[in-house]
Amino acid sequence: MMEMVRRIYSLTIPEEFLLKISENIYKFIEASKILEYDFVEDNVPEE
Amino acid sequence: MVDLAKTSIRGIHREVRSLRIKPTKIIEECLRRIHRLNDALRIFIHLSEEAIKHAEYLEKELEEGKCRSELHGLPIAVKDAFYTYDMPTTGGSIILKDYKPPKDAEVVRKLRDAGAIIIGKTNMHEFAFGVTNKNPHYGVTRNPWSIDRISGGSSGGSAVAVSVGVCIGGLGTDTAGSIRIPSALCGVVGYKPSNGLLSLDGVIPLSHSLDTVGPIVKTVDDVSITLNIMTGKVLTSQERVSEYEDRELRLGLPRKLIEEWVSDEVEEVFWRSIGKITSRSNCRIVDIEIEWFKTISDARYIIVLSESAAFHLKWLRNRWSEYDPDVRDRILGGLFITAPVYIQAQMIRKSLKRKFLKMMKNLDAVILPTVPIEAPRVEDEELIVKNKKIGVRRALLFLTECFNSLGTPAITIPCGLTKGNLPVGLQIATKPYEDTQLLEIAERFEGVLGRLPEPPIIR
Repeated sequence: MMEMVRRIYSLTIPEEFLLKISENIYKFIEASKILEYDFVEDNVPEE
Repeated sequence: MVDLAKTSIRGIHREVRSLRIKPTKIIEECLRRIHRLNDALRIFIHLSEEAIKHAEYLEKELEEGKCRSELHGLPIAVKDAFYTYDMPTTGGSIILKDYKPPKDAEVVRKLRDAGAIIIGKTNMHEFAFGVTNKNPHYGVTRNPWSIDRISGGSSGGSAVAVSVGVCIGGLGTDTAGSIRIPSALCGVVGYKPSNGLLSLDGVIPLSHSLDTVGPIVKTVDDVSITLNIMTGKVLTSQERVSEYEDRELRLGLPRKLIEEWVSDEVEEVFWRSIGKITSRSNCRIVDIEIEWFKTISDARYIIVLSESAAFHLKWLRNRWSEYDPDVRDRILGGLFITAPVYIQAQMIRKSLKRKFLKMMKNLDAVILPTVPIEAPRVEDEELIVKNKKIGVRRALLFLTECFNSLGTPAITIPCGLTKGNLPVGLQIATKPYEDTQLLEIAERFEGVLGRLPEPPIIR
């Protein structure tokens, strides 16, 4: 992921800096449980 | 001489139209007050060099019997996120400090066509990505009720400008509460319309699917006047027959959320206001539970990060060191959100909007405090609310952000002062595109709650 971000966006920001930011985002996504949202009421089939 | 802090658009319009008060005199008085207050409060980034010239022209039109609208000859302060042809548009950044837009933003053009005078561009949180208005480049916008406290943001400069009467109205943007938060903390009226109602053309984006623009003014009637002008439609008028005149209003109130998350100082003022409203106006409170409050907040954050990163990519490559580090780190975070996560967040938003509409079936509006805390001190980073530690940024937007995700209109009106003499805002929201109904309800409550006095700094 880090390599992809650096290459496709042509960033010059130091890698250790980006690592810290990416780690915070991953933690946020995990804590948010956004990927476990239940769309059953929207007529999306269950797992 | 008229004091704009004590009047409203309709109030002063009568005087201006009859030339009992001349636009040139109003602008001169506003500029005098700006020069007295701007160093302390950091309200403006740019002042118009043409304001007096515009006032002279509009005054001549009045002498010839031409009056364009209720805003003819009156000063408006515009957040520095809106394009203006005659002043730079910085977005509160150094990156755009010399940017001279080729035209006015669509809503600015409509205000000018209606005879408004754009007196200056107001200070803001850098690129509207924050709610404190602590701007490292242009200074901290301070609260006129207590200058050791923040104005709130990101449209803080416009809210302060209206509060201290250096304009009759201001323009702001609102992606998570950026109009309503500073309006509530500075004791003025702030309005976020339904998403899509007002044009975003010529406005520096933060998050294109959540951004809205709207007025910051003194009264709900002032919202109606500016909204009619900016939409080009008569959404509201004094002659309109009230939809609710003889009917009981049903107001949804998220009691549990308020009891858990709103500070004692704000809660006290809020419940007193609810008492006044229910005793003097035909309405009934219905307790509601919004169990998806955290989910919609998380989804919104993912969306804002992703969309802002896409817009800022061109500057993140080589000019990343010129940002406020706090703003830059959040924007950079958006680069690490993958497309499926972003799309999931947008789908959640749609799903929760359906749940909200279902909840609103038997309700006319939702009512709650605008901000759960008093204006924080400039140095505050974290606060204790109801024995829980909460970051200032998180606390400020806690009760406003969900209405951006839902796309509903929402308004804040002043509802009183805390024991510490700081303003508290009452927030009202309706279903999407019920802007007219919302203004009608807000006007009714404003009549019950009354207006705040002017802030101490100008008394």
